[in-house]
Order: sequence, then C-alpha cells, then structure tokens
Amino acid sequence: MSKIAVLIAVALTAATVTIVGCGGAVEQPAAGVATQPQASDAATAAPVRPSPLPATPAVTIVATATPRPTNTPSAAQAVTDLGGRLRIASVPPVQQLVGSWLGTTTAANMQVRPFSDPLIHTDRFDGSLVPGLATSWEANEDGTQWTFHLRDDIEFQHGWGKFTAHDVPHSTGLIVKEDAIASDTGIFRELFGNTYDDVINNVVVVDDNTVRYDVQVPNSIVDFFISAQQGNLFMYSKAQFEAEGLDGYEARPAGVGPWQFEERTLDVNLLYSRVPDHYRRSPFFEELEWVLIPEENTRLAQLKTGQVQIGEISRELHIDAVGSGLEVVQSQLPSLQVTFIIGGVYNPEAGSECADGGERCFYQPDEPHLDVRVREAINRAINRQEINEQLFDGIGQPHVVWGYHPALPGWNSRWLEEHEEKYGFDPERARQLLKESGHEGYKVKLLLTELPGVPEMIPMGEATYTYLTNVGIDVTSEAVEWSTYRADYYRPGRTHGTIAASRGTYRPAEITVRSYNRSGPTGFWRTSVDPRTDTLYDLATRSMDPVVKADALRELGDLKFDLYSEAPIVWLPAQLVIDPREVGEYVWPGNINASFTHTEYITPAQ
Amino acid sequence: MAADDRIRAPAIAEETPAPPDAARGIGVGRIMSEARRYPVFPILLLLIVLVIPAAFADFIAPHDPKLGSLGSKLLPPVWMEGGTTEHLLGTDRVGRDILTRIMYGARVSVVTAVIAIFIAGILGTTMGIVAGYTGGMVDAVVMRLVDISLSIPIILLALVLVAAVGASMGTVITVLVLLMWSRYARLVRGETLAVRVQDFIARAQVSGSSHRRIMLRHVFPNVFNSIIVLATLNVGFVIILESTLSFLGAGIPPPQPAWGLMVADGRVLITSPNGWWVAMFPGLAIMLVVLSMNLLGDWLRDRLDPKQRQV
Amino acid sequence: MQRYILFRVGQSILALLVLTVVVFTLARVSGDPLDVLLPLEATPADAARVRAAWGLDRPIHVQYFTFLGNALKGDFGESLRIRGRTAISLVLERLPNTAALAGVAVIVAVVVAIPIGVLSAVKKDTPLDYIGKTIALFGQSLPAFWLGLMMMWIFAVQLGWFPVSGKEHGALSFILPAIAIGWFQVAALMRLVRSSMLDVLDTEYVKLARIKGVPEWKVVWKHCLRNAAIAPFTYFALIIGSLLVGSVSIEFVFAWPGVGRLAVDATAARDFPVVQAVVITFCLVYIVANLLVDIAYAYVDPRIRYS
Repeated sequence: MSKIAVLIAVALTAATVTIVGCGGAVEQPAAGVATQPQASDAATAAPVRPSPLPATPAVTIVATATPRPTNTPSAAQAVTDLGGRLRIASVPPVQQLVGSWLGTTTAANMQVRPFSDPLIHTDRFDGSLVPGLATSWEANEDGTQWTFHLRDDIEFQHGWGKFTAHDVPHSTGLIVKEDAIASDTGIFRELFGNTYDDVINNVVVVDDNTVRYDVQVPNSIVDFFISAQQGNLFMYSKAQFEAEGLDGYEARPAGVGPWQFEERTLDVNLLYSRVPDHYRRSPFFEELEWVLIPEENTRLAQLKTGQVQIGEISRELHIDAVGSGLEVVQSQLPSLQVTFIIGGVYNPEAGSECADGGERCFYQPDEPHLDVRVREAINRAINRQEINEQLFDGIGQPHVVWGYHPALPGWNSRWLEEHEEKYGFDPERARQLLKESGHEGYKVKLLLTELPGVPEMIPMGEATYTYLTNVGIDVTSEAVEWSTYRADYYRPGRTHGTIAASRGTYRPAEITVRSYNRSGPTGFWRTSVDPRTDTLYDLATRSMDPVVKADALRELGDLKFDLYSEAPIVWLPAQLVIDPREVGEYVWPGNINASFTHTEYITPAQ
Repeated sequence: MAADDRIRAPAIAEETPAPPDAARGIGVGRIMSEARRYPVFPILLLLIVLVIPAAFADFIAPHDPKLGSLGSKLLPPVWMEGGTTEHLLGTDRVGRDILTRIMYGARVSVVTAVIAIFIAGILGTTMGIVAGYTGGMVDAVVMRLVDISLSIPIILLALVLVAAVGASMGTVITVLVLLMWSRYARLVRGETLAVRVQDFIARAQVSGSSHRRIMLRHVFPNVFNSIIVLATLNVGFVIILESTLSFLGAGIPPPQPAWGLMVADGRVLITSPNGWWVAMFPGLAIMLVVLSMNLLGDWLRDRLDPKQRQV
Repeated sequence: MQRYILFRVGQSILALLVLTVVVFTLARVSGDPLDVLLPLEATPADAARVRAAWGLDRPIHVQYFTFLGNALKGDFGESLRIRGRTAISLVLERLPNTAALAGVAVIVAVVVAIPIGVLSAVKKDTPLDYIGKTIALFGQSLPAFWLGLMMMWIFAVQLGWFPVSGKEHGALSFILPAIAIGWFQVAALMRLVRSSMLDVLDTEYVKLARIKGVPEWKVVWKHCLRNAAIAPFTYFALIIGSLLVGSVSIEFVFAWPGVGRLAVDATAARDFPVVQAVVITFCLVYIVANLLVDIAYAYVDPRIRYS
C-alpha cells in the first residue's frame, strides 16, 4: 500500500475519531467569526487563491499529505501524544533576527513567524489568505482604505497583556523604521508612509478590535502585503516596546504565535516552546529548535544519525537520503521560479534622455539582445526539459512567462499551448535566428550567480554555458556574488551583453513585473520590451476590478511571452527531508521563497 | 636589532635539513634509501599527474574541459556499473569529463602555484636579504611588515579581495603572494644574518664591493638553496589553500577546471554512492602532487642543504 | 631591558595602527553592505535612508577617525548584519570556541607529531620512517574540509562514535574537528622534532649516556626528547596564523560557532564593524604573543637587548 493511501486512511480515521470523540474541537474556529471576508466589493476577490498546477510531472518522491480543502481535519487530529523537541536542520539565515523589520521575508518567516502571527494567515494547503488575528477585512471601492476586524481573545506571551488594534500601527511602523531593511520596507513606505510616525497616522485605530489602513497609493493587493504570505508584518506588543524598548524585543520578544520564543545562540540555534491553547493551533511538539548548520553533508549526517528530524537537504543528496530510510516531502505550492535575465533589454521612451542611449542608460542601441531574434535564439538554445530532469529530479513545472503561474491572476492558457512551438529546444533554429539577425557568434558574458533556495543555479549556469556555446554564441562565464551583480550590473544599468540567472517566489505577477520589467525607481532591470509596460503595470496594480486587473496583467504577460523578454526555466516546489520514524505529517504551502512555515501543524510519528 | 634572531629557529626549523645519510640500513631500508637518493617515485608521479597533463592537455585530453551534456551527468568511472570508456573517471554534475578536467586543472594548478611562488619568492627574498644585511631601521620596518602580514587572517583578506575585485585566478594569486612573501622574508632574513657575519662577506666589504653587489653575489647564492626547498614544499600548500578558498567561494571561479574548485564543488557528493568520484579523483590528484612535492622537497633539502644549520 | 621593552612595545603599537588603516580600507573597498543586506526590492531611496541611519554616508576619513577613536575604547560599533549586537561582543562570544578548538588541535598535532618525529629520527631511513612521514604528510596533502567530511562520515555516521557536529556534546564534540585542523600541522611539527632529535642524538652527552649503559628507550624518550621538544614551541607564533586558515572551513563543516565563521559571514555581508573587530582582535593576539615571546627571549638571552 502506498504511503499516500496510508495517510489518507489515517486522516479519515483520525477525522472520524476526532469528530466523534472531541466534538471536532481541536481546530475550533473562534466563536462568531466569519471565516472569509465577505466579498462586498472586488477587493476580496482575493488575487491569491491559487491551486496547485494540474500538470504535475512524474514525481518520484513521497508526499506526506494529500491536498485537501482549507482547514478540514487531517492526520493532525490523530495525534494523542505530543512529541518532544522537534529539531529542524537549516542553513543559517544571513540575518539572524527576532525583529521582522531587520531582514528579508525569508528570514522573518523562519525566525519570527513561529512566535508571532500576522493579521491574515495563509492556508497551509493552498496558500490562500485566511483569517488570522483579523477575522475579516474589507476594502473601499478605490482600494485606498482597508479595514480589519480583529479577534478580542488574544493575549501576548510573557504576560504583556491583550492584543488590541493599538498594536497594529506600532508593528506596521517598525517595518518602515529608518534602519529597517525588510523585504517589504519599500512597498510599505509607498503604501502606508515613510516614517514610523507617518504610519501611526495612516493606520487608524477605529476601536480596540478594528483597525483601518489608509493607503496613499491605491493598491488592490494590500491584504496580500499585510498577510504573512509575502509580508514581514508580524504583531509585536506595544506594551513591551513602551516598557523595554527594542532591547526587550531582542532579549525576549513577546508575540501571539503558536510557539513562544525561548532563546537563541547566534549561528547555533533558535529555541521555541509550545503555546498551549493557541487560538489557531497548538503545536504537536513540546519544543521547536532550528539547528543552524551551514554545510550540506553535515545536515544530512545529522538526519541520518537521528539528531534532527527534519532537514533542508539539496536535491542532489535526496537519493542518498531516501536510501537511508529518510523521506523527501514537498510543499503544496510551487515556491520558486527560476529564470535567466537577458541583460541590456530596455525600450526607451521616445524623447527621453536615454532615447539614443548613453553611458548611464540601460538602453544602448548596439545591444544584440534588443533584437527579438537573438532573445528567441537564447530561449531556443536552452534545453529546459533536460535541466528539469537532470538538475531538478523532474519535479519542476513548466515556466513560460517570468512572474506568471497558471494559478495566479493574469494567466493566459495560450502560453502553455504555444510554449513548445515558440520556446521549444531547437539549436538549429537558434543558429539560424542568430544568423538572420546578423549577430552570429556575438559575445555574451554568462554570470554565474547563486541565491538561497536554489543550489542548482551554478550547475544550471554551467550547463547553459554549453547550450549557448553549442549554438555558436561566444560565451565567457564569470562567477559573481549576487550582491556584486546588483552593485556592478543592474543597479547602475550595466547589464549589457550579460545573461544572469535569477529566482523569485510565488506571488502575484505584478510584484515580479515591478522589480524586473517596469521602469522608474523600483524597476531595477527594466527589461521591458515594450513601452506599454508601465501603463499596464499601473492599471494592474491599482484596479480593484479583478477582471480589469487580470486583463492588464495578461496583456503584460502576452508582451513578455511574445517578445521573449526573459528566458524562464522552471517552477520549483520547496523540498525537505524528514525522518519518518519521528515525523508524521508536514503540510506547508512553501510559497514564501521556500520558507518552512506552519511548523505548528507538524505531527509526530504515531 | 637582532631581537628576532630566534625567528631563525622556527623559520629554518620548518625546513630543517636532515643530516646526510650516515648509516645505511639493509634490505627494504636500503632500497628505500636508494630511492631516496634519486627521488624516482615523486618525480615519476609528478610527471604523470602534473607535468605531462599540464603541458599536453590540449592533445591528450579526450573532451572539452568546460563543455558537458546534462544528459550524461554523474556517470561513474569506467570500472563501475554504468561507466563508459568514453569517460574513464566518470563525469561531474553537468556532464563534463572528470579526467579531462583534471588534466586541464593540472595546468591551472601549475600556473597558479608557479606564478604565486615566484612572485612571493622574489619579493620575500629581496626584503629578507635587505633587512638581514642592512639591519637597523630597515630591518625593524621589514620585520614589522612581516608581523602584520602574518597576523592578518589570510582567509578574510581573500574574501575581502574577492568581494572587491571579483573572483579570478589573479585574485587567488594575489592572496597567495600576500600570504607567502613573509615566510620567504623571514627565512631569508634569518639565513642572511648567519651569512653576514662570515669572513667572505667581510672580505668583500673590505675589497670595496657595493652593498648591492654583495647582497646579489655573495648573500643570495648562500640562501638560494633554502628558498628552493621552501618553494618546493609550498607547492602543495598553495594547491590546498586554493581549494580552501574555493570552499569559501573565493577561489578560482567556475567553470574553470581547477583542482581545488573541483574538490570543493564536488564535496556535497563526497559520501554519496552516486557521485563520490566528482571530488575524489581531483582530491587524489592533489594528494599525489602534494605528497610527491613534499618528498621531493625533503630530498632537495638533503641534497642542497647538507650542512647542519639547526640552531 | 626596560628600554628594549619600550622600544618593542612602541613598534607593536605602530604596527597595529598601520593595520587599522589597512583593515579599514580593505573592508570598504570590498563593497557596500547595503547591496548584500537590503532586499532585492529595495530602491535607491531606501538604500540612502539606511546608509544615513548606519552612518555610512559620512566622509571616509571621518568614518576612520570615529572608528579609531572608538576602537581604542574597545568599541567597534554595532553589527550591521545582526542588529542589536555590538561587533566586539560577537567576537568575544566566539573567541573562546575557536581558541578551545585550536588548543585541542595543537595538542592533537603535538601528540601525533612527537612520536612520529622521534621514531623517524631513531629509525631513520627504515620503513618505519617512511610510514611515519607518510602519515604526517597525509594531513597536509588534503584540504581540511575534505578530511573533516570523511571523518564525519566514517566516525559519526557509520560508526556513531562521535557527534556529527556542534559543540553541545562536550569533550567528544572536539575530537573530529580538532583532528581535521591539527593534522595539517603534523607534518611541519614532525619535521621539526625529527631534525632536532637527529641533532640531539648526535651530541656528546647522549653518546656518554649510552656508554654509561642507560637503556636506549630512556636515552631516546627522556634525555633526547626533553631537549628536542624545545624547537616545536618556537614554532608557536606561526601556528597561530595558520590555524585560522584551517579552522575556518572546519567551523563550517562541523557547524562550530567560532570566530572563523563569524568572520567569513561578516565579510560576505560586508559587515564592516565585525570584520574590523575580528581582524584587530586577531592581530592584537598575534602581536602581543609575539611581543611576549620576544621579551622573554631578551630576558633569557641578554645579548639580544644589547645588540
């Protein structure tokens, strides 16, 4: 009997037992609380209601759980005895923090999320936005006012009193503090105000249980930024801040999460203990410990010797891990998209100072990448299927337009249908296209960069070195740290003649467009192939009408697809190795840069 | 200012000459000592692993060192199940031929080591001779520079340099030179101090030779042997350090075929039944070269440095 | 004597000053911490704000003198990567871990090198000599991380004798990383012991002892070794420097919370305050140790201070 079958059986039995035995009270919803915000307007036609891509290629690994509708009982309910200490071996994050404004979303989700909650939570099966501290929320018609209704039965840990609406502006203000370096600091400043004080003014406490965000620039996905799916916004106690300041947060941060922060030793571990009677889910283990181990083999060795129960292990060693009785589990959603950025592609506005190119302009008229045939040739030269099968164990899903996923708004099914025809591996055609364009044998610098979550980026780059060489492009390659790439290449607009890999997370397409294709202050690469990009972006971001929004995004995607603005490679789920002797089930969406969230739902093996 | 006289002890002791073979054993020992008189094994090994591949990689290597096909990635060596004669030592993670990369890697390693040691040797020797011969303020300054150089954690320096100018063979060589020159300077200064007090130096000074001439013609030949011995022993050290730098992401960048890089890169698979060969064979190459360079160095020391200079 | 000590101390202070300039400059040419620490989405305006908040927008010489002034008081500023912690507290928290590991590594090196050195001197040019030498050389012919990974696989995973990584398992935690670091030093130490043993074996009083009928083992292990063991101790200064080189990769492999890892991570993140604190601390340790040794020598050997 397959593992999945067993799990389904267990889950069903468990569900029955729980319902009969405990009256289904384990995952009780709060009394009198709406589960989903009522869609009085378009705002709540949540742009983030993804479901996993149907076309999943053959997966050779074991999934520990079957996808199921939101928050229905699962194997979790079968747990009778709590586990002891759950140890998870992880790569030490660059920023070790307990203040979510001090680092990336990834860092915050790993270290802060266990001990504190966001206003809006994410569903562990499909990543959709579900009530957390806010039981419901709604926006006004133009998307400038977002109101959140909060629970009134939540206490901060360590005795810091009740969680109220007053904690919300404070916690939001922290994200825009002058030295804040959170992933969302930029967008939060754009939306809610530039300083802590501005934010305090713009996030209005209506009453103890109601808070309203007055947004400076209309935005249709404010709830997404507020939620933990993308955001860094976790709730901190204002009372603790007033009594102890930031030092208090540093020493013993009080949150409202399912775990309580105990202690940490930098570069060694972070330890949390279980919060009993948590409003969403009290963990099934007494303690949670992140064991920080930088070296790949060492994490695997820790797993093999049973010293940790879950580990972040790169795909190359999965066969090895499975051979030792460990299991590979993967996230419910794709978590990372991988692409090659074709440098120097910039369509200048007529009459702008860069219309004729120039030293400091992205646009330089002699750039071969400006020729769509060259971009097509690059796309044709790369064998995506081989990369997926050989480097990613075949778990990848097709990636046809950078930033876009079938389950996200703005998708066009035409892209997948035409993918083979327009992007299919065809070195002959690539050579011919190069010849037609007159750029046969042109020189390109392939920058080998690596970003966390995709250890295969360097091998992928090395393989692409071969692909591009094979179609007659004169490739040189150079290993470049990501930060150097940013400082030396894309920030100053010097991506000419380069191709570099990048990766992004699973999130609304406009956020990717904002960073990569749009011009203006937030557009770093500005790889827009068409002048309409900015207008369409603005329309997509601001429109509260889901249809208008999706259409604008689709049109943007059409441009990107037809004009080969990037060379997207693959969508990847996050993967973890677990010890099945110790761990029963772990279901997490994985949609935040492959972060390991929802740890409170991990069950011990029975 | 001879306070650093004692530095001679460690510096020389590190490459202490063994006394000339006094009593020969018999049997195995005899054969071993014969082999030791003419270091056949090390030289043969070096020829096979290092010199011939480095010189003739273009002609004898079966594949291109930078190109591979993902379709044939992680093929095992020929004697294992699934191995092919096309890739005698198997292929790496992106399907490149490991034997080919080791051959080209020999070239990278030789070039790196030779250039780095040569520059460090010249720099260190010059500083060492001048300091030891001139003494006084010059000596003090040089020795403090040596101190500074020895006290800066070299790994950090390497990382900083890589961050500043990017990873390249040039960066690796710069780091190696910055690390090694002080060792030569220390050694040579110590030796120079010993030579300076000898009669023939005094005679040369009396006969009116310029200081430059004395340093060049009289001191240098007398310290040359020690330099050669240290240089030989340093080759292994250089390759190992290059590998450590690659481990930290500050070495010779991919897809260059450098041994250190290959080992550092393949280490993820080092205990895996499905890819141990990726790091194992370049590691073996490093080991053989370092071992034979060391044996050669020991032998050279005995040959070139027969007098007991132990303080 | 006092004059000599003063002179040497003055020199060392000067050396340290030069070093602060070097370190300060190097740290800054390595790049902008904001490029590493700011998220992908940050705009140039965000960067400017953080730059001002961190004091990185002031002229470089102003930054240097602020740094120097504070450094004299032992204050290297707050870490940019780990906010809320001072650089020096991070370094001091880690230093004992690295020092302890290095100490055990030196012991391992000595324990292995001395018997091999003695044996290969006594049994010069016999198979024993060659076997000993090969063992000693082996540690130097492979990168430390390679050795570490292999030992971890064999002794921790397969045999289960030692913990895999970390330092929370007490004395056992030290064994594997210490061997991986220490082995590299064995070859050099062994050469030292071997040659000084050969010297001592050749001296008159050893010959005399033999003639007097003192048992051979006693001649070798007591009379000779006592004299021969002095040389390795003078090697100490060099070891300090090279230990860090070996220990950095081992700290990564064995997830050891040492200064080496802190330094590498800080460099990668352009965390200037921490980089500066680490380098200055290390140089200080090295220079002070060197100074003490010099003074001790001068004390023992009066000729030095008068020359």
